[in-house]
Amino acid sequence: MKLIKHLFILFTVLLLSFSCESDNNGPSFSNNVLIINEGNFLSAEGSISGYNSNTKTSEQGLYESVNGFAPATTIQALVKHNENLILIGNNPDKVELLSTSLEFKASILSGFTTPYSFAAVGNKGYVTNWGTFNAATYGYDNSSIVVIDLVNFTILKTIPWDNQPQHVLASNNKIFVSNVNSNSISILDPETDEISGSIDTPFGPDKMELDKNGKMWVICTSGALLKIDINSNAIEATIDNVSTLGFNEKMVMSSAKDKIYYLSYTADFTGTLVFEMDINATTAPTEPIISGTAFYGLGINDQNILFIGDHNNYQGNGTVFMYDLSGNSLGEFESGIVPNGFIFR
Amino acid sequence: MRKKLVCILALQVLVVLCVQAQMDSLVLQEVEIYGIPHAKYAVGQKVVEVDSAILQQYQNANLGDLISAVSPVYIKSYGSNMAATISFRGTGASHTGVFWNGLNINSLTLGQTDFSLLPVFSADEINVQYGASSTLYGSDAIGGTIHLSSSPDWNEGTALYLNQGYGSYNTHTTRAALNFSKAKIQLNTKAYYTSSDNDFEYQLPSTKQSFNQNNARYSYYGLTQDVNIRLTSNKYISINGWYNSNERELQPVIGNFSDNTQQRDENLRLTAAYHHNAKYGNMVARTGFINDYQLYDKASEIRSRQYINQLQWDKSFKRIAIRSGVNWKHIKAKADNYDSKKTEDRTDGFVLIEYDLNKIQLTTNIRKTFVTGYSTPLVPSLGIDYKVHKHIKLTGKLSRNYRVPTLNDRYWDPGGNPLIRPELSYNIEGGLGSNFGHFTMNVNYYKMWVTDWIVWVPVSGYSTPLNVKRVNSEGVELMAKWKQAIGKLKMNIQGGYSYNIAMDIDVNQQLPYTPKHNVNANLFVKYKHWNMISSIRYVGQRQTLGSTMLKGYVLSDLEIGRSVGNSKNQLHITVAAKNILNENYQTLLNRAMPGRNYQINLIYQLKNQ
Repeated sequence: MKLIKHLFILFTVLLLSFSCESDNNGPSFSNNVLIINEGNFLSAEGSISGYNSNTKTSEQGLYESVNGFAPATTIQALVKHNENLILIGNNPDKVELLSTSLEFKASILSGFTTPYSFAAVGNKGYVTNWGTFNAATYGYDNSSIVVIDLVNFTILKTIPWDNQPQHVLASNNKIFVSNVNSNSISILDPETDEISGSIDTPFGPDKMELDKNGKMWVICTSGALLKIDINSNAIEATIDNVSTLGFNEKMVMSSAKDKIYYLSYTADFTGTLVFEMDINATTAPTEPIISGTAFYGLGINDQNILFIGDHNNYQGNGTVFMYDLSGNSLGEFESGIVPNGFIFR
Repeated sequence: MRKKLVCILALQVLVVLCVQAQMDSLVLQEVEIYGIPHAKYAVGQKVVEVDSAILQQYQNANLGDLISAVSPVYIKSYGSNMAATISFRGTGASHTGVFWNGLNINSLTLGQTDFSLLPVFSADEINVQYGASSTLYGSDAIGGTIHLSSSPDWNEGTALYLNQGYGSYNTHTTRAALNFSKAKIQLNTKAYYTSSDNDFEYQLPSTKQSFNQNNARYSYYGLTQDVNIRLTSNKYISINGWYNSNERELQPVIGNFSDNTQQRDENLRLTAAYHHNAKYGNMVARTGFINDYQLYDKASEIRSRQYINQLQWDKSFKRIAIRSGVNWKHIKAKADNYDSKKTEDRTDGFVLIEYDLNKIQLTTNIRKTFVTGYSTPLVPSLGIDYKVHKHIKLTGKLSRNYRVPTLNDRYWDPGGNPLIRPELSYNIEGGLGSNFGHFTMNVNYYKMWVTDWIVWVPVSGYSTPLNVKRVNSEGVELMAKWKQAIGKLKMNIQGGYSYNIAMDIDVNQQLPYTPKHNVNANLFVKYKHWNMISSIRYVGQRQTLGSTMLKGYVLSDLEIGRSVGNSKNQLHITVAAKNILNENYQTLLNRAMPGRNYQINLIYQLKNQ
């Protein structure tokens, strides 16, 4: 019997000593860069990292340390809106309202089907939804644009969409939606939420950005960059032979909004590249300014430092590389899994 | 190195020849059937048979639930009764060989076993062999091996077992077994069926709302049939068959209320063996057939077939026992992502030798596999058991081990890499075992170096498998068992603790989903017609693929039973509570697991023996 007692004590001691292994030190709010980490496909392990460019330190799992729980989704987008952040996640499909210091405020847990991007006009938010995946066709069915009330954080309406809506951009009291599996950009009227027009494009319009003149640039998966006048909806320039990723394009503007940066694969697909193009250029650049192994996310801060997220072959955490616009390395730091974008503050 | 190995092989062959020359004077012996195929040659290693009382307690569970309750392995599960993979001594899901009556049943396409698809009821005996043993079992045996086997009940007459259970989440379980034995024939049939809504409650951490788990229903049924025939005292035929069909919805991540993915799995396994203990030695000829089928979400099919033939000869002498054999496996596989039907042949040749020097048992084993299209390494091992004292035994083993890449690794389109090499590992282990009758205890240390670990890496727009990862895994295992009977009170307590460091040496980090600490304990008490069995385990914190640290958890189950009747007719009622502490835990990030739940079973046993 003595033996049992000893064994019991041994186990208890072991249990106790291992249950208090690590302690969280809590987040620091000094980070001036937020890194949006998508997380691996299907594992819902999206996270937000922080980087302090003064102390040059990074911190993982900021959302989790602020709230005590993880985002538990694949984070497709995190967008600043007024004094809040809007988090768009898929699998599980949800939209969350966070404070700029990442405190969880509210969420909408149903009504979205593979949501991808977000834009707002006033207190109305527009979320593109790819739809439900069809294993037989490898495509998406029942795509939609979901309109949400950003004050009460509820769904206002669901607009069925014929194509797969990728990005959404709000400007000039218009909502531009790029239909990535087709040849068009649709325009929604935010007053009526009805389609008010459309722009014909090369195949696969994807990311859209405004330049310093208020012109909208669109990168197409088929390898084109378009300059569009958002008043007349007319295409003012088409740059062909643009090397792209071909899927979920990444494109950002310099802080002066006069240069475009986008990601592409190398010709043999074994690496990834960053290209730079002036908004007055007439042909696509042929020489990349930066190359790397697995670039995935792109961002530029107001000091024109390029932040490039590398997914490290989806094997655990990613890396963020920093460069100036001449392509000189300014260092690197660790991120969460699959860093796909940045918020600078 | 290669030269040395050739020398070892030559030596082995020489010993076999010498021994063959002096065989005639030996007496014929009865055929003996062991729970694990090469038990005698597993010198230097720990082999643990799962206690029959625990086996009984987990009768309605799957093998993953059982194994994680009794041994320090980590079972990573995609939810309750969802796909579950194993990590044994810090190795990956495909580094544990799972055997049924001597056949490796790991999926050829994925290279691993889904432990949720193996109902405990289908086996009579379950053995866990710790550590690497490729020389005994070939590919996959790097972290350990698990052996499910049929164990014939030769008591003359008929025995019937019926078990009807009902539990939380509308879980129905039905188990039935019929054993018949007369003279030279023994027959055993088992059938089982389980269905569950599996809609346990979980709380969403963000909003604190509670939900019932959606899209997680499952049902499975199966049948096993054993036929054993003693032709003469030294000739024996065994035939075993197992069909299992599982249909389930695939539990999505927490908060996903719309997913409706489903999966169907069907597995048919057949084997027949002829044992002949003749003058020239004990000969076993085995043939087997395995058909695996999976339908994912009503759209994607994977099908593979294996035709297995094994011929094995062994002979024991006063000081030496030898076993040599050839296994030949013909594989046919078809998947939507293969460009055509694939066929492959795998042939193994092995020689196992055990030297018995009274206090010391030594084994030198060697194996070589030939796989269509490329070469696998020659693997040797050296094992020792040394009885230093009446109660104390020292063990040790050195071995080289390997894993043949999966069919997906080579043929998946796009990405499959036909040039992929087998994974390799070198293992050492040592142990101290003590046995004082009522009390046994052992301590083991192991270290392994795994290289050419296969990882799917995106290189050209899609992923392709490459031999890139290197892992060193090292650890200590402690195990103790104590048995006592005082009058009508019988008690049995056992416990284990393991500490494991599994480093990915390129990133210098513990592998994801590999806990450092693992503790388990079981207590079994029987008093008159009452019995109580309780198991508790602690799994330490483990990192996910990213920076998230999953908290350690304690799981405990309790079952109380009462039996009435006599030795011929017996009725047994059990009431069980699982996860009594209502622990909120996840074995895989964002996959909810059930809280406290209950089950009641009514068991009727008829023994007309």
